[in-house]
Amino acid sequence: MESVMGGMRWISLGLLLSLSLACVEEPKPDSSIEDNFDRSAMLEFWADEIIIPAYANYVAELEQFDSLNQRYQQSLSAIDLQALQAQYDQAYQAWQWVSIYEIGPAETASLRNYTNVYPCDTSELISTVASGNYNLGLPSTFDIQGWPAIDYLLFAPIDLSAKANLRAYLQDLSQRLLTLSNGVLQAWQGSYRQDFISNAGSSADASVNKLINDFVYHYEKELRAGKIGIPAGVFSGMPLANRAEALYREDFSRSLFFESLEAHRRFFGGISFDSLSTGPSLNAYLDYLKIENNNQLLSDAIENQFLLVQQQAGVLDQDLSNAAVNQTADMLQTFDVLQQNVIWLKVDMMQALNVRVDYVDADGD
Amino acid sequence: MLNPHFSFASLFKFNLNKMKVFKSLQTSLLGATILILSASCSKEEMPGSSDSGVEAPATYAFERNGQSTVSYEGQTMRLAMGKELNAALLDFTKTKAELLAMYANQDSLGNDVDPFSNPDLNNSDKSLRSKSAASYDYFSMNVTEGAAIRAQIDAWIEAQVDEIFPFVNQAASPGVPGQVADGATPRYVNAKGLEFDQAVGKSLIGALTLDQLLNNYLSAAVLDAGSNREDNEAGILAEGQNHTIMEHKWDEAYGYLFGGAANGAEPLASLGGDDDFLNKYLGRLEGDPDFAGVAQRIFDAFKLGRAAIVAGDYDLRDAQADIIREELSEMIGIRCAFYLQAAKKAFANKEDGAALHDLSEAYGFIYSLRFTHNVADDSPYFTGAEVSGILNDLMGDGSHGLWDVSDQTLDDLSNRIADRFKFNLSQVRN
Repeated sequence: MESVMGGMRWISLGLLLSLSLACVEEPKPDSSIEDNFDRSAMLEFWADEIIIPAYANYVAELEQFDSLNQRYQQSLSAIDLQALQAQYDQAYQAWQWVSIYEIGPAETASLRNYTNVYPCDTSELISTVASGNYNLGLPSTFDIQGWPAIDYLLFAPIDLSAKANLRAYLQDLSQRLLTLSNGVLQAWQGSYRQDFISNAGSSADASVNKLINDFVYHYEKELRAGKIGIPAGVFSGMPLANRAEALYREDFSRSLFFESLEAHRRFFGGISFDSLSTGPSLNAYLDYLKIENNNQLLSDAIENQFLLVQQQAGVLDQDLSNAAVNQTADMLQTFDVLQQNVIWLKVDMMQALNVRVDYVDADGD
Repeated sequence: MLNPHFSFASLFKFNLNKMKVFKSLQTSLLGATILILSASCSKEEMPGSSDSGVEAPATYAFERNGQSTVSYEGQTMRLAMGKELNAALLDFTKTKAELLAMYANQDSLGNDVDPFSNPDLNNSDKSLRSKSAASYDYFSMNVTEGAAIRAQIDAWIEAQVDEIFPFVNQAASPGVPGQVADGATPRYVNAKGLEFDQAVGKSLIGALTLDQLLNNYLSAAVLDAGSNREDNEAGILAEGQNHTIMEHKWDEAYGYLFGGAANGAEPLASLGGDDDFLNKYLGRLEGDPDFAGVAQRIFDAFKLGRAAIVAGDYDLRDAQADIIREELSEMIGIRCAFYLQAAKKAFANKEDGAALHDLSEAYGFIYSLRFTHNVADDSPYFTGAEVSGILNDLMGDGSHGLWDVSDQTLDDLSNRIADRFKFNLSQVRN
């Protein structure tokens, strides 16, 4: 009869689920408030004050990286290598501020996949370079290019100055990042900006709907899972130290996490890229619709949660690959604190704004 | 060499299941209602005990004279062979002959070969191919179709080498074979967008594991063959073994689902991770709140059926066989519809690579429909001809096959499949 009890347990679980769902569903848009929120103004703010300046900044950092790289390639001096390594920090941090916006030209170019798929497959990288024959436009090369590959070339103990073919490859990677990102920036500075802003409706293809999906996807998959959950072992049952970002640079992955977290927080809160001004964004949209959660504004709950994440991650080692192993509980705790905002953003907020989740939960095999 | 960097994408799968919970929280009381309904539907067949007083043990452990009577090494072996074959289909250094030898565990002349990396598999005389489309119920009097199915799988293996391997270092587009990105994972498709490795792997779920399990080892004709009943009751054991032949047949069915588990007596603990075939997808199904509970129901039916054999209660045994047949057949139908709907969503999202991968999985699962077992009339839910029709429709919206399939076709095919089963599309869409 044990299994009958088992069946009963499933039934009660079902009831429990339905009860708890009633709680989750509470923050419904007040039907008395018509949604006349000015989506065009929000799109304009996103484009002009957040996205385009972030790309401009990233491309500038990349140009600097590329020119320092040229200098190093000429001199092979230790001091020029140090300068290049220091600029890697700047540029990789700047990347975190554009990674979220995989829409339009970035989506077409698969910019994120060509920039930051980690960990780098270093043995594949070595054999590819040795073969002398590669096409960096193929999906199978995602994990031997971009920042994770540059991370390996600049910081792994491989004596770059003695390896001309690896240096030539570094040159290719640097120029490729610059070309791709510059293409995206130029598209935004050209006709795409207007396309983006004028697509101000509320269909699944509308800019607001798409970018909200991109933002929530990035928060869930890249920030929560990629930077914290996977190294912490949330999905594998044991810590995977070698899945952290910036593995070879060391002591830098927490910094990249913080950059990304702050980029999410500011986007949600409508803070311009230069942090000098504010404008309409998701918090304002939720407040306009008077969306509440447990007697406080949902926007406040989400903003507070971002700060809680910041606080919680503050206890972590600067190198998240160390934290994954030595502070596993703190990493898991960070994941849990991040997870709360997945629920508020993906369930409560998206429902309140009447935006459907458009991304497929890939099967994973 | 293929780089095994699926890490990032594949590690998401666990939290994806979690996210589905949230989605289902959001989708109303329907889920709970279905749970309640399905629980009450199966109450008549509630496992654990029976009128005749046969009790199922808590785990799949049966003994005689203090020794276990359970054995299914042959199934464990084949599941391991299948895993190696699936991986080898994406090893671009393999030749056709090597891959076909892995499928058959012999060369084209029938000579013994050592195609596997695991020496135990090389030493075995077991073969994936000889047990494909080879069940008693469906193919003992239809060897023509059985041979055609094995030839089809051979042909897909050859096509992987001919149509895909030469082009792995180029980007695919409609009419052009090569790579597509599914998230950060490269997938390798032919000119029509089909991954033959998926066609093979997912078709073997039906042609090998499901067919052997449902239509051979759970078949009354196989369980009761010869003097099996008399021997079972008289406790006459198979030569040199501690089990009766009937006990062993039932265990072999069990082995095709749970034979990869480290702890075969309590396999639900590792469900989903024990093979590339039925176990993996039962794990997926169990992880979907709309279908949770299915794994326990199947496990319970296996235990009670085995206990019924020990007790000589063959009606009870056959009732459990029917539960397993129904649940696992349903699972194949659900996976077909799931992937067709996922592809539709991915296309809408301009994620062609993800869509083609979903459709390639769907392709193999659809092929597997021919091996399902409808207990109402002891025949497949879809005949071989019907399956061919569905696959032709899936490939037939334009000259570029899967690249050209319309939303309308995906919905039509999903409905055509779902209509024969109990599930509905809203359950697979979320």
